[in-house]
Amino acid sequence: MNQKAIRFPRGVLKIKKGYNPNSSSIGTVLYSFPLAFIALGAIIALCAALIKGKAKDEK
Amino acid sequence: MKKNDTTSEPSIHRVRYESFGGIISSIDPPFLAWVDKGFMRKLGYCASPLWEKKGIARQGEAFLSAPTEVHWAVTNRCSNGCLGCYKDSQPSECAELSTDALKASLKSLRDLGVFHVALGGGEAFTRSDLHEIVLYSREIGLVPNLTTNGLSIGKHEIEICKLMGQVNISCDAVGKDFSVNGRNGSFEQIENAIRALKHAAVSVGINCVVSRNNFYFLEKIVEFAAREGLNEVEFLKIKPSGRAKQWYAANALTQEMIRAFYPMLMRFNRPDSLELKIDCSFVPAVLYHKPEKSDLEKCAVSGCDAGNMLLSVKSDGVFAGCSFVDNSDNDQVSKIGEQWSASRHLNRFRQLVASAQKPCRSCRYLSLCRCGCRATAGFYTNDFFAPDPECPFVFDYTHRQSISKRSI
Repeated sequence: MNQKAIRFPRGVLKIKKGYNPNSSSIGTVLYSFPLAFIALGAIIALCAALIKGKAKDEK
Repeated sequence: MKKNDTTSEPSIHRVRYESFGGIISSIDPPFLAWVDKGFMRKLGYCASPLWEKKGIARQGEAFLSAPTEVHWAVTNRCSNGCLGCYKDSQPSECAELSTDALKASLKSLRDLGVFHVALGGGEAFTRSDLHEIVLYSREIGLVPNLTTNGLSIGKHEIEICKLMGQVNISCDAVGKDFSVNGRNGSFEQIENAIRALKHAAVSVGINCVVSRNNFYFLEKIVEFAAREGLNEVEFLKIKPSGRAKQWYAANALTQEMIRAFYPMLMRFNRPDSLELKIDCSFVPAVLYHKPEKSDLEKCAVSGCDAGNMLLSVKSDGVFAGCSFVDNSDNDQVSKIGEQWSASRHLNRFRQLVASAQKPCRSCRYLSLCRCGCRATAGFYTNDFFAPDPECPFVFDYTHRQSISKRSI
């Protein structure tokens, strides 16, 4: 339990992954905290790409 | 200033302003990201009047400008008759919104800023207008998702499911144990439905209600889901609601099971493509193992998020903070635009942290857990603001208190 904390791109506060089809309860992806944040990798990369892409447009 | 809720970025579905910045909705991959004002500016969004406020606060803590997801029991009809049904669904006719009224309310929710709608029931497929409802949701920019009992999946239903972001089929155990929670139908029907949906490239998962009857069978569900190539299994703690209320005391999880739940799930073998999810009422069972709070916050792990991220709607159009707690004011979803901030019912949920009792009041996870499940607490105590007695921290505290009283 000594992994590094998650590092999001600057400005990203929180990420809720996936959809919750359940009509009765809010769904939370069950990670082994703080393990397995690698599962968020694609999303974090996308957020970073959004900012970079936007910054490029502005230039 | 860019118009709220629209964007030209191809990867972004929708964006809405919040007091802290905004929330970005993406469809591929599906996620919601809470971002600060700087991030919003970099995306090209100018300052919003909301940024001048410290969140909408009324008689309690700050809450979002709209729910992120709405859970809608579009009907109470279901012929399945499961003993553990949280709604007491019946095969007979029930009070339901008309197609036009339902669509108008979906539009109100969309206008408020809602991103996702989870359709269920009852059995949503008993509504002959489900296709129209789902098409309309897509048309106005709401992502529809579905929970179904899986017993009536034919060609027409598959076409509807193709429009969903995610479809989950209720299944509490596999093989001969299928009916362990009083479920009707057969496992073979579920298997066939899952395979047909997978064949049609629908994102399919399983909803599994966890009671003491199937607690030791959960690994078999995960194995089955992995074998079938499903993308998620969501475990829902059984709740004292609907027909399950009479059934609850004899079938609720024991304290030993609640404490063993999270480590047990983490030991299950599963491919990376299969995600395990839990519902809000299981959050105290995870927190008992003391994970890092900031990591949980970043991954949007939340206990009772009723009246904040979550809103539920019954088949007759009455909304509530969650599907397991009744709104005695009978507020109608058609009025959600004005009622989201003003509803007395929703504002009670927003006072949970401020009104926390011992031991929740001093718990480091309070802001995240928010005193556990209101349906469970209400069932045992009749007090809306009472700590959830099934939370291990609360259980231990109560036990210590009773010993201390006895010794005095």
